[in-house]
Amino acid sequence: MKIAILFLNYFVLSFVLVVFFSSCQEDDSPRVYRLKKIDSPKVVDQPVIQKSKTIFWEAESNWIEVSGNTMRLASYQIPYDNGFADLSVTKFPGEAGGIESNVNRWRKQLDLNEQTLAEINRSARYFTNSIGEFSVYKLSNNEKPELAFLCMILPLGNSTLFVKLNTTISGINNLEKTFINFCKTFKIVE
Amino acid sequence: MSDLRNKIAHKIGNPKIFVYVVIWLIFLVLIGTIAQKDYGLYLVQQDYFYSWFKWFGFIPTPSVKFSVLVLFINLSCYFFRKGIWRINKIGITVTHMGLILLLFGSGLTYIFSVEGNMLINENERSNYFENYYVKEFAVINTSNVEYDDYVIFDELFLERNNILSHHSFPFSIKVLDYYINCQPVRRLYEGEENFKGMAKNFYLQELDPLKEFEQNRPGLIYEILESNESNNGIYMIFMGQPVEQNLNVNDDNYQFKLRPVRTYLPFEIELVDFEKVMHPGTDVAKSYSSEVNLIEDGISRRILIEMNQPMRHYDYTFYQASFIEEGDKQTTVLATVKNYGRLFPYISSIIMAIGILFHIIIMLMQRTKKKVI
Repeated sequence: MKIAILFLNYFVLSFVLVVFFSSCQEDDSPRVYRLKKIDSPKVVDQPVIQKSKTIFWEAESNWIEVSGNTMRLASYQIPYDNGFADLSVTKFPGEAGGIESNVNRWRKQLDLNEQTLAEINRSARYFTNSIGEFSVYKLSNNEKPELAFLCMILPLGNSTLFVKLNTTISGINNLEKTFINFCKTFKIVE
Repeated sequence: MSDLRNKIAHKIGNPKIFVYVVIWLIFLVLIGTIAQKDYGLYLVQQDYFYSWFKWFGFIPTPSVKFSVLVLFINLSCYFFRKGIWRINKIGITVTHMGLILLLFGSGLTYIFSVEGNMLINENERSNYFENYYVKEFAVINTSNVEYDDYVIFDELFLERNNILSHHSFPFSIKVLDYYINCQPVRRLYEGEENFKGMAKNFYLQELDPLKEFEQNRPGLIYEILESNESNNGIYMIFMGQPVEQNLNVNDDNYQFKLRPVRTYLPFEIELVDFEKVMHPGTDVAKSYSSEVNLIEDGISRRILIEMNQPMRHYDYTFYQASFIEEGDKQTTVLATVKNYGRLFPYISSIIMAIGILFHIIIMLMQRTKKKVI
């Protein structure tokens, strides 16, 4: 009995030491496996939240919803006097670069010079909807009348919502009120 | 030889070492508990428990892992002593055996246990769970219509300048940067020609890791090498990226994913119904439960998982942890643990209780004998 216990003790002690120290070694080969195709699993940023928030908005009945790319929450073709304007709703994690870099990126697309944050803030218009305060930027270049933007930036805590209306200078003048009214319809439903 | 063994056993197995180590463990647990307020539970566990040394400034001190190993060796030395099977020692010997078994079980749990969260939508099935604390980089060949081939690189591979390659894909991947937490930011100007995919219009901005470690959004910047000219270049990917990053090489499609470490189960779980009961007049959940089908080899078994009533199958335990609601869609979150050492605490506690009881009885009998004499 004593010898058996002693043997067992040596065995367990050496096994534990080997396992403990081998656990420090890093496995240097990737894991490989093959799986049958299934539907894409649900992708959720955080598994422990009790309720996720869904963003809702109200588009006007004459807007045509188009399938945009996967970056967009929604895309619409909005009819106006001179044709159709393209409206996109996108959401990005964090500040997505912040107001200054985003507005200057849009300005760059219109061949406009970059502005400081103070200048951008001065040119912005502020409104509120049920989520909070949002800013609207009207961007156009008279030398490039065929392209102009109306943009909205709405911070959502740990992400940022962008709405961008892409049309002509006459288009943004025509649709400005509609655009702001649309931005006011955004709400979060828990 | 026997004397030498006894001497060593007495030195290393000195009960004083046990006492000092236990005091040190109490101290570590106490300051670890305080530290987790500022650094979060996961990082403190890594620092205080799972590393070999806990550094206080420039001073290395034994971590919990190291201390437990010392305890194990210290206790094991008891069995190299003489006379441990005498009747008056047998209680202590059995108690030591129970304690050794407890430490052995905790070692098994530490090394082999896997945990994570299993998310299942109502009326859908899943056969895997994900650990949100640890990430993996997956290269998936999706070319076959029936199956996908996965090559998984664990997070430890994602170190700057590491080259990731495997015989199953005809290119190699150089890790340029890996961020534990980051956010994608649109570029002011389109990136150079060498930037491909999302990296053309976005870059990753590194952020400080969050205290709630599982909420970090990791990101990877990598370079595809040794492929054709149109594919070679710099790419980026972050966890939860809405656009899939694909690469087409020789008519084979490869998909890249940065995701939580995924563990597949040998069975499936289907969520039949999720039910929650709220405290009256509030949004606070009183209780919630998941009615699931456990499907194995084509045979389905209906089981109810409730708070504090987990489902156990093989070495897996599924706890009702949380839920997600999106409009009418309900998703259950089951905290899943695979633990080989699950029974060790129960068995070792029983052995220790028997040992202590036996020792008390022997001591009482000896005292009674002395009084009678």
